[in-house]
Amino acid sequence: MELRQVTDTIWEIPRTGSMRVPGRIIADEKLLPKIREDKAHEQVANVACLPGIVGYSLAMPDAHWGYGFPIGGVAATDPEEGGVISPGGVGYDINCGVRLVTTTLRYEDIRDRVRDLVNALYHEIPAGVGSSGAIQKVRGADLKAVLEKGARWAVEQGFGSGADLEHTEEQGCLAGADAAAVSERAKTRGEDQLGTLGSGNHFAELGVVETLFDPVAANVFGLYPGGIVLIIHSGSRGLGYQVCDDYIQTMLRASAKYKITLPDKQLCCAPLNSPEGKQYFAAMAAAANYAWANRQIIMSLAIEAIQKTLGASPRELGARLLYDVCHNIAKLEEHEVNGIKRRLCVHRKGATRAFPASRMEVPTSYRTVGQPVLVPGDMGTGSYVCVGTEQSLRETFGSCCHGAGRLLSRTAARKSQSPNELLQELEARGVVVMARSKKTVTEESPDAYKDVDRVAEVADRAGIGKRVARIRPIGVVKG
Amino acid sequence: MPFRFLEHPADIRFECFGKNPQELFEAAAQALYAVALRSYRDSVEDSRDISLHADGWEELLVRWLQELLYLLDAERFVASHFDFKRICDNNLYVVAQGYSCEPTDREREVKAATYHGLHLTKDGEELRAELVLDL
Repeated sequence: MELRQVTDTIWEIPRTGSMRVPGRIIADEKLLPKIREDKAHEQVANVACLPGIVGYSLAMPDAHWGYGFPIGGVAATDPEEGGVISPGGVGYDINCGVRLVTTTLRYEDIRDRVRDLVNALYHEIPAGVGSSGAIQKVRGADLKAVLEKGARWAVEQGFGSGADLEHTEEQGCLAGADAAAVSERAKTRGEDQLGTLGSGNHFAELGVVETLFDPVAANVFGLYPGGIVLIIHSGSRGLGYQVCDDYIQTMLRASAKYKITLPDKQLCCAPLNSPEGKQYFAAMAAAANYAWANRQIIMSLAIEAIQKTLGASPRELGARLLYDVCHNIAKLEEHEVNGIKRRLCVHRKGATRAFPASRMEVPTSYRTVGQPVLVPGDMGTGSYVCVGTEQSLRETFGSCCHGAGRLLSRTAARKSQSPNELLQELEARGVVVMARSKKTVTEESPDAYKDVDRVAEVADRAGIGKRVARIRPIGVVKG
Repeated sequence: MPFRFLEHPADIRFECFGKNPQELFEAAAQALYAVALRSYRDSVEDSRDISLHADGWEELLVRWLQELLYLLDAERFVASHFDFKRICDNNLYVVAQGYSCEPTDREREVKAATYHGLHLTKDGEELRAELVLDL
């Protein structure tokens, strides 16, 4: 498949066969070979075949092979022109996302307490496969409220405060959610998983702000060198997986009904304005709201655990939600295409919204700099806080990367190091790790991921997300 | 073992084999449990009736694994013995016997069995399927 270089960070897949638009990959000459080896570029071309797609089928710098969409894939469709919505373009973990909390603690304040803090987070945040929530089973009217109110429901139950909602994408509640569109099976899977981290690449992490790239934006975000932050990565748990699975069955039939021919079954879809499309959107939004409630609860548990361990009052800890972003979602957003404003359905599958200061969706407090973009790396290297740009709005429908992106398969990662060797190596690097599964530790080792520094640098150079600060991990809890 | 893991950059890809659809579906179940569980017991304490409909063998196989995942996640049920009462290209009825597992028995969270890269082929007397599990 031909890849034509447009700039030093943009590679184009010319439109061929049943592609409706060209593809574009944001990468440099060092990231591109792995993306090609993974065949992620072929998946970018497959996505370009979706009915109603506009502009380009896109892949972010952290892209790798997924199922249907590539991970790191972005596609916008126009519902007024038969544009589709595809559950495969959102993923099973609907509204998998990241939130970052700043504190007034400095590294020197807790240097000797990191192990105690990690231990407290490990015990206070339910994590691992099959874990049950911090709150009792949520059923019936309560679960309906979670699905339709999102993070606000958690705040009403005493988890965090209303100020957190202002710093959460969509204020923690995606409009159009309908609990009735969520199956009983999905509700059953979700009823005892609220307030649980999950396993795999999900984590709770303590980090220290190491480098500032943009001191002005860092100041607006409340980031300062040596400051301690908390990062949480989790999603909609079994409820979201079941919603996706239920609607893939629906969409397989809908694709046939609407005579949509696709190169990969996992891209099955329906026009957004069809009954099937509308119902999926309502269910997806409900699952997204569950995920926001989940992260709100986890954050609250984590803050409480830190306060208790340090014997600090809320005022002394000074915990403040910097921002919460989702990176597996489809959203209705206004974008300008060829000079015309259109309301598009933007799929971000392993990609983060990166809106500039000019957009009304950006919290008022960040309207001078832009939306914070959270890019977690692996557990031994670092993470980035970036900021959205006008260029990302023009070139990637306001999207940026969501992480480092995988480099090694799980099998290869397990072969490269034993769990104990890895834990010792991380300790030597100054990172305390506690995990429920040793296999997960090795499968999530730093070697399994691409170099987050390069991914963030390429995103910055491409102009889709400017680096604000780099964060070094010091303590990690994995499921 | 009637299954083998293949390379995949992020998730789990495997192939499984059987002389007939029953063996193939049982092999796929074993592969799923090998990924999801830390330990797998040959215990029979409980049972579930599994009845599924689909448009063809490939969809039936994915739905089969999705059903076992649901039982594992929502009911903590692990199937160790399968009695295939009926199986054809668009439906199956299976009585699955097994046990209730503890959270500590679980190793990885399998989000789903996907349709991506799904292949079902027949080579002589042997049926072969290739699947990707989302982790």
